[in-house]
Amino acid sequence: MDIVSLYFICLVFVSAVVYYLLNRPYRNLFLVILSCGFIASLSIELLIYLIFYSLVNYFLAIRIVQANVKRKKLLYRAGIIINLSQLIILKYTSFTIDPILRFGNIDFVFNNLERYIIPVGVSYFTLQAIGYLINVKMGWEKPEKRFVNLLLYLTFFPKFISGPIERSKHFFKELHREKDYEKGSVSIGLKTILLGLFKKLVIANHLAPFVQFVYSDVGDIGTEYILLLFVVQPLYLYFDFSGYTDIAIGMARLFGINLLPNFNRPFLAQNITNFWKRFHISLSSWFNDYIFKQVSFRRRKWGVYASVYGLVVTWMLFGIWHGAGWNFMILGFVLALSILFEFFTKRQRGIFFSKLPQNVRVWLGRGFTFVFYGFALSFFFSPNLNVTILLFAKLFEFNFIGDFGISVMPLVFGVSLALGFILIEVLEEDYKVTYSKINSYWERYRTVRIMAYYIIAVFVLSELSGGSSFVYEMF
Amino acid sequence: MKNKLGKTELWSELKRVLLFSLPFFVLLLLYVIMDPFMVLYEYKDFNKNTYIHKNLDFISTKKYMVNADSLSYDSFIFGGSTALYISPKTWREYLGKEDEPYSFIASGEHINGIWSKIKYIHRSGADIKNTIIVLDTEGSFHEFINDNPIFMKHYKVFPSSALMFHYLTFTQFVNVRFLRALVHYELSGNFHDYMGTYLVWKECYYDNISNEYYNVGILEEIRNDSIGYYKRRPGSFVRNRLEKEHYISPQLNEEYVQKLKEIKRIFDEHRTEYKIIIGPNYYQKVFNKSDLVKIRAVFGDDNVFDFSGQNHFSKEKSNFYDNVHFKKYVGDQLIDIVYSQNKDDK
Repeated sequence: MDIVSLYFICLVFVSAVVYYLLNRPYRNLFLVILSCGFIASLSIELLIYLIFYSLVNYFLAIRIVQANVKRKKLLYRAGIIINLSQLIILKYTSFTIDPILRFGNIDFVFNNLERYIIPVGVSYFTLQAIGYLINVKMGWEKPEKRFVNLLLYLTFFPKFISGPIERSKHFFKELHREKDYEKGSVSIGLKTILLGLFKKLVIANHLAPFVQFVYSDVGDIGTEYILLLFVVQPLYLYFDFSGYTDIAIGMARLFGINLLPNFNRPFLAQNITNFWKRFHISLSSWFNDYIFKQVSFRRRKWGVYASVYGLVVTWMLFGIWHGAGWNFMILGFVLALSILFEFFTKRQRGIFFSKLPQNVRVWLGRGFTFVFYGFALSFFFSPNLNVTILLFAKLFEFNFIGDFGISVMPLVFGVSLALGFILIEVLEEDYKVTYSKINSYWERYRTVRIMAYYIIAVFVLSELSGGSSFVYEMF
Repeated sequence: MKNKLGKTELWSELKRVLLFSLPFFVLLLLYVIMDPFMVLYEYKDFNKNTYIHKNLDFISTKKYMVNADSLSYDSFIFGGSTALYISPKTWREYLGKEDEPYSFIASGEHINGIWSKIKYIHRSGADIKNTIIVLDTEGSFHEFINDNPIFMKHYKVFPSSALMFHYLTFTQFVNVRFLRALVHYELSGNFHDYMGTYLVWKECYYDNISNEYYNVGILEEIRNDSIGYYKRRPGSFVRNRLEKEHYISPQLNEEYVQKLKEIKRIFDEHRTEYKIIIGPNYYQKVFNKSDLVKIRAVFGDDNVFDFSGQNHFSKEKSNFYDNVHFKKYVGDQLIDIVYSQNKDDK
C-alpha cells in the first residue's frame, strides 16, 4: 500500500471516522487491526514475525521488572542481544555474516531471509523496542500490561515505514489518554497530511531527478553540477523526509494520537551540534539518550575524553544505522569529527566571531552548517564509496561544462518552492512580529486560507500519478 | 455529555471537510461521465477523442476481448510503440487466406506484457497460428514497473489490481496541467506547444478490427513539407547520434528467460509460426549480444532477426518519424525480409 496515494488517505480518513464511532475500549484494538492490515499488505510473513517479536519484548519487559537484580541484568542483556541480532540478521548480513560464511566456504546466505521477511521498518521498530526495554530496566517507565498496546507501539501504521521513532513512554501516554474527539483533530490532521504531500510530491519530487542524475552520471558531469548538488541534496532530503513525517503525524492526529515532532527548522541551525537537535530529532535524540549518555556515563572517569569516546561511538553507530556500507560509516565519522571540532573550538570560535555583527554571525553559521551538511550528504546519497571518491575528484577538477544535460525547469521550480518554505521558517524564527502579523492575517481571512488549501490540493493532485518512494524508506 | 459534545464537533468538522472536497467530487463525477481515457465503459469504436493519450495496452486488450469471439483472430503482432509500424494489412499478404491478424501492441511494451498476452490468448482457447514479436533494443527487458497510467497492463491479462489501475488513471485526469490543456483545446480547437506533453497533437486513428495504427496527421505533415518536418524537430533528431556501434549492457535475467521459454512452449503447442524482430533504432544502438544468444537459444536462429546497430535502415534519418519509431514502409520491408525465406511456400 502506497502511503502517498489518494486512496490510502481516503481509507485512513474513513477509518478515523469509524474509530470515533467505536466505544473507547475497542479503539486501540481497531488501530492494531488497521496496522496489522497495513503490514500484511506489505508482507504477511513480516506481520507474523512482528507479532512474535512484540511478544518476546512484551514478556521480557514484564520479567525484567519482576526479576531480582542479577536476573534483571541477564534478562535485559538477553533482550538487547535478541533485538540487535534480529536487526543484524534482517539488515546487515550482506555486510557482516555472509562474508564470513563465504570465507569459511559455508553454503548458506543469510541475506536470502529477505525473501521471507522483507526488512521494511526494521531499523525503526528495533530502536523503539530497545528504547522501551532500557526504559523499563532503568525504571523510567513501567512495562505495558496490555500486549495490544505494545504491538500497536511497534506497528502503528503511520510511523511504521519511516518513523518518527516514537518514545514508548510518550506513545503509551497517548494511548491511555481518555480520548473523546478533540476539537480540530480531523482538520489539523488533514491539513498536516496535505502539507506533507505538498512537501513530498511538489517540492522533493522536483528535486529528486537532479540528485539521481548526478549520482548516475558522475563520470561525465562538470564541477558546477557538484556545487549545485551540495545545495540541492539537503533540500531534497529535508522536504522528502519532513513530508513523510508530516503525513505520518497528520494521520496519527486523525486518530487523536500526537506523534513526536521530527524537524524544527533545521536549516536555521548555526552549527552542526544544533542542527542535529533540529533534524530527524526522533533519531538523534534516541542516539543521544540511549547511546551517547550511556556510553559517556560509563567512561566518566576519563573526563572530557569520555564525551569524545561517546561521541565517536554514537555517530559511528548513527551512520551504520542508515545501512551496511563504508559510505554510512564514513558519514557517521565525518559527523562525529564535525561535532568534536565544534566541541573543542567553541571558545576560540566564540572570540573570533564575536567581532562580527550579530546578523552576519548568525547567517555565516547557518551557511557553513548548510554547506557542510550538503557536503556530508554525498556519503549518504552515493551508491558506494567509489562514486563518492569520484564525485570529490570531479569537484576539484574545476571543469565547468556550462551545459545542463537535463531540463532545469523542474529543479528551478523545486528549489524556488523549497526556498519559499525556508523563508517562512526564517520569518517564524527571526522575525516573530512579522510572522505573527502574517499569522493573524491568515487566521482572520478564511477565504484566503481556503484558496491556499485549494491551490495546494490542486498541486498535490497533479503530482499523484506514478509511484513515489521515500528516501528514509530504505532504512 | 463530553462524549456527545465530541461527536457533535466531529460531525461539524466532517461536514466542513466534505464541503471543501465538493469540487473534487464534481471532478470525479465529470471523469465518470466523460471517461476520457475510455477505461470505464464498453466501446465498439475506440477512436473517440483521439487527441487524448490513452493506455494502448488497455485499449488493445479491450478491443481484442470485444472482437475475439466474432473475428477469431489467430495471428498476432506483439511489441511496443515501434510495433505500431508493423502493418497487419501488409502482414496479411504473407499469411494464409483464412488467417486473421491483430496488432496486440502496447506503449513501452515489456516482455512481461507480451508473455501475459500470449498466456491470456492461450488460456482463452484461441488459436495462435502466426506471431511477430517486435523487441526494442533497450526497452523490452528493462526493470518492470507497472505504475504509470499510460503504460500499465490490463489487469485481466497481467495479474495486477483493477482498483490501482483505475485509481492511477483517475490521477492522470486530475492533473491540473492535463486539465488545462484539455479544456484549452476543447474551447479553442487549436494546439499549443505546451499541450504536447498531455495531448496527442497529430491526428491518428486505429482500425477497429485489426487495431492497425494510422498516423495520418504526421503523414500529411511529411507529405506537405518533408524537410521542414525534420527541421521542426531538432530535439528528436540529434546530430551527435552515435557514429560507432554502441553496445548496451545485458538485460535478460533468468526470470525473463523463463518467460521466453514459456512463450515458446505455448507456440509449440499451437504450432505457431513465429518471427522475433529486433527493430532498427535511430541511435544505432546494438542489441546486447549475450541477450541475443539467449533469445536465439530459445526461439532458434532462423526465427530471430536483429536489425539493431548500424545498417541501411538506421543510417537514414528519413527512415524514422522520430528518434524511436521507424516508418511504416520500413516495417513493411522488415516483414518482407523475415518472410522472404518462406514467401514462396505461401
